[in-house]
Amino acid sequence: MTMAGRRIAVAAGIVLLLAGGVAGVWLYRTLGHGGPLKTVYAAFDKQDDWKEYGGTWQYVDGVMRNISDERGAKLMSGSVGWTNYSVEADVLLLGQYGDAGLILRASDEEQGVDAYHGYMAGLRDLDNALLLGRADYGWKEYVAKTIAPRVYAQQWYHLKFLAYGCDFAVATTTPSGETISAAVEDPGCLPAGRFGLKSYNTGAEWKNVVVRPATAQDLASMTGGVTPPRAEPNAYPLGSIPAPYDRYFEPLQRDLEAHHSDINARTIDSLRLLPPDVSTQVTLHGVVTLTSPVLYVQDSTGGLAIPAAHIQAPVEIGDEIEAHGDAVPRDFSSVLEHADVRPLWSHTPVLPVAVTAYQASTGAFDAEYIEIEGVLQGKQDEEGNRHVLVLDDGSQSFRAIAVGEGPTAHFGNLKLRSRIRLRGICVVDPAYTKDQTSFAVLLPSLRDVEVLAGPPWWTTGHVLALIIGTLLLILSGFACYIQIERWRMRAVLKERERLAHDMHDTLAQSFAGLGFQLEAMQQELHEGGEVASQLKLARAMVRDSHEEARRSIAALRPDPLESAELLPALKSCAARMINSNTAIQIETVCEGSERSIPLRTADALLHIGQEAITNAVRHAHPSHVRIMLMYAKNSVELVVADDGCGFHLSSGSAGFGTRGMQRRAAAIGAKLKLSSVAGRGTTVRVSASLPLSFPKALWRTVRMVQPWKRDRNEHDMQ
Amino acid sequence: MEIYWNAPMRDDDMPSQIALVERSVARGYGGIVVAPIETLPMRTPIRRLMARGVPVVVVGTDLGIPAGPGLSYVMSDEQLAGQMAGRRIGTILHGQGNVAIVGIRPQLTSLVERERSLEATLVREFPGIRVVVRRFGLAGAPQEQLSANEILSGGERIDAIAALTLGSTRGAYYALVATGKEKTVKLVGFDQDLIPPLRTGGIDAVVAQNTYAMGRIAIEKLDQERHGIATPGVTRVPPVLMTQENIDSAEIHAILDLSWWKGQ
Amino acid sequence: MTCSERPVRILIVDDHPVVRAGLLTLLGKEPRLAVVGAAHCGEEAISTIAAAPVDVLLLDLRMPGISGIDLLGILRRGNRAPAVIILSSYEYEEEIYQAVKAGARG
Repeated sequence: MTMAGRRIAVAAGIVLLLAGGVAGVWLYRTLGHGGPLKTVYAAFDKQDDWKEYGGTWQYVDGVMRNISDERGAKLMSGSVGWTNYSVEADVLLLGQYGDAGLILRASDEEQGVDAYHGYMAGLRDLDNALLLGRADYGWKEYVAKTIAPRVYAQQWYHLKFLAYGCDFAVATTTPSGETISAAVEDPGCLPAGRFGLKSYNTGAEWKNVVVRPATAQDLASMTGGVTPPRAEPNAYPLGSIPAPYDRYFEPLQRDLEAHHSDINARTIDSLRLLPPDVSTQVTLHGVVTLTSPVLYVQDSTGGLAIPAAHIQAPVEIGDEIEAHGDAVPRDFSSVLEHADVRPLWSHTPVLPVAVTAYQASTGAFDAEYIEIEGVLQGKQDEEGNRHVLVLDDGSQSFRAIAVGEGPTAHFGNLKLRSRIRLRGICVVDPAYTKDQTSFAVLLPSLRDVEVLAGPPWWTTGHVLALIIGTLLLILSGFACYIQIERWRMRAVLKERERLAHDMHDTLAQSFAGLGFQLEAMQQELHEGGEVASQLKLARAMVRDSHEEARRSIAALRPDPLESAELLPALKSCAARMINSNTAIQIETVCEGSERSIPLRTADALLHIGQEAITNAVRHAHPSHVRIMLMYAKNSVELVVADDGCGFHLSSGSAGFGTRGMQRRAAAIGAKLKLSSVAGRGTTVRVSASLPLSFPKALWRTVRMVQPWKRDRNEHDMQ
Repeated sequence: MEIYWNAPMRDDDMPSQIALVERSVARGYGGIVVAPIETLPMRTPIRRLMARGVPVVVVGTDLGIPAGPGLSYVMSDEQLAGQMAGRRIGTILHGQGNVAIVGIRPQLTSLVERERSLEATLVREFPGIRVVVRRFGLAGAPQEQLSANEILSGGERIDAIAALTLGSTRGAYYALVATGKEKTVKLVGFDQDLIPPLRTGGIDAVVAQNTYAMGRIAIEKLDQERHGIATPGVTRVPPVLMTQENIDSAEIHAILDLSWWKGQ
Repeated sequence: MTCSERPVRILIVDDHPVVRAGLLTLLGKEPRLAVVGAAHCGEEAISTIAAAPVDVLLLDLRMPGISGIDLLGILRRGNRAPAVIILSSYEYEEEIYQAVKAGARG
């Protein structure tokens, strides 16, 4: 095989493998999590295995129950790939006018009436029949075998439904032990599908649901070896029912009785004005608004509590009931004691009345379903598994109570001072208000609490955090500024060093050369004469300039000055200056507690000091030069004093040196003071402020930037 | 043509019906036939359907949206229905008596039409008949039963009850049985439901919608719509009066022959 | 200082023209001194020394190319190394030390 050929083969192999893998995964997923079918005892407590399509399903004590009487409640499980299997269960019908049973080979289930493709078998107490049929988003009834004498509600029947190939068999065992069965063959049947529980027009219960793989033998044992007849859908042309018709009236009669209600029912409101200390037997109708901790019902005139009710069938919120018992009038509402409660119909929920806390506190809405808003002030748990919220609205406080072991995550997430809307029964009974508030609200569940707005953000903590955050931001900004200034300073000093080199190359050497030339010229001339003296002056000027240049260059130190070196640096500068002239005494004095001086200030002081020292040594011919550095609380002062000949301040001899000193002092906002007495000496004083803390430094920076302040500084210096 | 059929699991569950309509659109069906439970809430969903270019046939009520391309109506002739019921009542009471009208439902415009026509017929043709009680239709048969019970146990003598809806017809019948007035008070109802009482005379007559014809016409219209053939906007199908006498006739059979009906 | 009849031969090595001109004029006055040449960089100095003998070198430390210290080093390795006197505006001790170590006489 060639290289290219081998490559193609490998590629094809990989593609096939991938395709096989993908197909395998797809197959597994479409066939559902069932996988191969084995005997399964249906576990109702594994919620994920079951899918609801309509109905209100509850799982209580090993029994799965649907309490809704809608037309088409389904609970499905299993896998779409299951083919030959049987489903077996105990079934109980709760109502008298519908049917309930088992589904198998179902697919494409939806919410709706007969909304699936599959087969259903069950019991119908409407016409006392054992059913078997097929649903394809419609219903084809194949079998409706009469069970004598009747199919009883509220009794357990055992049901087994089997599918093998295209044969379907159903068998039921009545409470009295009798077994009735039926079977059909459905050519063109659905080959596979899920199993489930189904009820129509009635609530029902199922238990002991078992699913088993089915063999031909299992089918035979159910049919007794007889070949099942071909399935024919029962045509029920409505009109042509044969006489006698009595048996059709029986279910009507039962339905009628089931929904019969007492026309002497009284309005709830009318019960409040019954004689107070006498209990009166009444019948009333109302819609259930709360089931726990106490049953509350409401009609169009008001609401009332039915404690310790004897309830015939389970009721839930929204059911209309008929209650018969002893009416006991209380202050704002009545109570029905020793009551029998019978459900009439369901799905007629009461709409809440939106009230303010003040309105509720008057007692006008006692035992009624309200909607109310408030600001959450407190949360606590009380005995009896009660979760209590304390809320505020205007001038009223009230409690909201939810009873139950439901998940309390929602309760825990409610934040104090958030605005909350809740719906529940308004009660003034001290058992709930604990006489702390005028009313309380009984919540059907914690989910009836709706948060309208979270707690306001502007709490003390948050404001404090905001202020601190802003301060930190400002401080860090300032620290950055300081750092940048430092870098700038260093960059400036580096630049100066570069300048020094440049200057040396050009300026200083020029002076030197000039000096040589002049000296040569002077040697030519004899002493005396105007030219000679002029030459001498020229030479002196060149020397001075050379000195000045040299000093400036020397002063451009490459290393940034540390403040602690200020005094020693000035001392060594002075020492170098006097050099051979040992007649001059240098004294350095340091006063006050030494502190760190900012770089700019130290640099300026150094230059000013150097200049002052130079002037003293060169011009003043002193015998004593004192250099003093005095630290104060907010400032540092440098004093260079000599006892030389002094000079006149006003005499325009403010040379570059003096101007330089002034400029440097102004740049750092320091005060420069020159004082000189002819014959006695000169004192140069420069006083610079030291920052105490960042805020003060910030303030000083602001001051330096402002021009009117700067003018004042300049005026300070003379 | 592949047909998908579904309905809410309660007769009065309008939100579920709307949800069903919206779900069906999402599945990309080529057309929709819908029999709204209530008129007003169905307007917006239907408008949205039309905006998406899905042809719609509305059965049983006028939504207020004018018929046109993409929307047509198939309705029972409620004018005629009310007339039929009114004339029947007038005939069986021999022109004299007290009548109670129950099941009034403004939620469906066709029912309003039905009631108006019934009352107008009574006023026009049977001046000796007085309508003494009117009741609104309620959510379900048990409520209707209670309501009718109250009427029958009330002060006024009632000679006949006209029940405008399926639920109120059943409820009124139950109330008659419960109060034992089955033989003494006549019941004329609408929309076929209970058949055995018709045979025994417990229910005197039922004005039935020709649901079979309406369904067939609706699908035909949808088919024409999809092929771009113009269809008349509103088609009214005359109802049929079912009584003990004609219940086995071929005409009634055609309407009632429903193989999936639960058989009563 | 030895007294000799021959004038002292001096070579000026400085990159700055004014300094060279100035020194030239100044030293030219002195009869006992003879300025042999003025080099503006180390390389020229080396070639001048190689061409003609030189007694004293007046050397600037900071020059482009070969610095004064390096030139000192190079000269010392050769024979007939002239005495070197440093001219500089700088007075860093370190530089002075280096110069002396390299063999400068002043």
